[in-house]
Amino acid sequence: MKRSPSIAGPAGGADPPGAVRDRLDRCQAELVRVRRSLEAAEAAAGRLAAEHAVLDERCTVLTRLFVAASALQEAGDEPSALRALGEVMVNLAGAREFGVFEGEEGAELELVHSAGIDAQSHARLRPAGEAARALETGESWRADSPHPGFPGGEPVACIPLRVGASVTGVIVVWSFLPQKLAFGAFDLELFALLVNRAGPALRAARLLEACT
Amino acid sequence: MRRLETDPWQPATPVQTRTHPEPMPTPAALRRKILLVDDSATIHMWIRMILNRSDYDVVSARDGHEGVELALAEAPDLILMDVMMPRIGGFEACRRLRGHARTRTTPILMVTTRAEARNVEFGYLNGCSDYITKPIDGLELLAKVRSFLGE
Repeated sequence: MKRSPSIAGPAGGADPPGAVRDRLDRCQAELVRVRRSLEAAEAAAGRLAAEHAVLDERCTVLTRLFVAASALQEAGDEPSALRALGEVMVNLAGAREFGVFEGEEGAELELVHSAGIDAQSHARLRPAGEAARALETGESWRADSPHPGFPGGEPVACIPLRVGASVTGVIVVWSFLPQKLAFGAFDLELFALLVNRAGPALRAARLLEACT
Repeated sequence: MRRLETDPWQPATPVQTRTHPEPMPTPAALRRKILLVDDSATIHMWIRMILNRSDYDVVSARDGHEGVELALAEAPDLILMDVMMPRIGGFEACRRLRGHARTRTTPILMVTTRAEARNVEFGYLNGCSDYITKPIDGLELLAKVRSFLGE
């Protein structure tokens, strides 16, 4: 039988056509196996990338909450505490028009800090609507979106200030910055942080100021 | 002889090389320097945390006057500048920086609550390179910083 010189076997001789076909089949099978491994690796990489994105987002939220908590805690006197609270509201929450009101339970509340509003005309707040509800329940409230199209003067968010079991005031937000298009997970967590931390931070700053 | 339709030594799909999301720490001498000019302690803390995580050196100034002096002394790779600040505002600081050879081409990103068209236009007239609006989105900030630094 005449042998093809191009198909050399391990011993220098030519493989029969059947042996060549076997080797090709084995290569094909190996190729399929490698492709499957590659696909599995790519799927795993995709999952890890998605997990990384979620973790990165979570990390960003926690970092912003840390910044907010630190800013409130570091204030050593009342003006610093109010300034820090104002900065958190503008720089982290994206509030444009808001007032921080404090006062005795059941009485009119007094404006202690504000941004974007006329402080004189908002000097006192008689709680009504969502602000009254926030003071009563100690739970924050927000509209469905930062720009719900409410009539002028209607708040879009109310954040009560809790100190222990009592509510000592409320942050009323009348508008958010135009570039803030929606409330996200961070906003809910920031509002929860402010409910529990802003009141004690203001009280602690006043006590510290009185002591020093 | 049966011919393979595809080359068995080439992967079915091109292998995508993935860069690690958190690169290895850069030696201090090679780190890019960013000057942050803002009078808000909250903004300083927030932006520092974002940029330090990505291996940038951050130098801080509390107002426009200090910002101009630090920019000339430190020659940062990029400047983040607030608009409303005591002593010298962001637009005026930007204009002054463009008057110095050392900072004429340094990218300046304005960090502001003001995104209205007239403010944007006024900022560009004073030499700012781009805007970032508050509340700052960490990913957007990093993307713009990296883009202006050519990374």
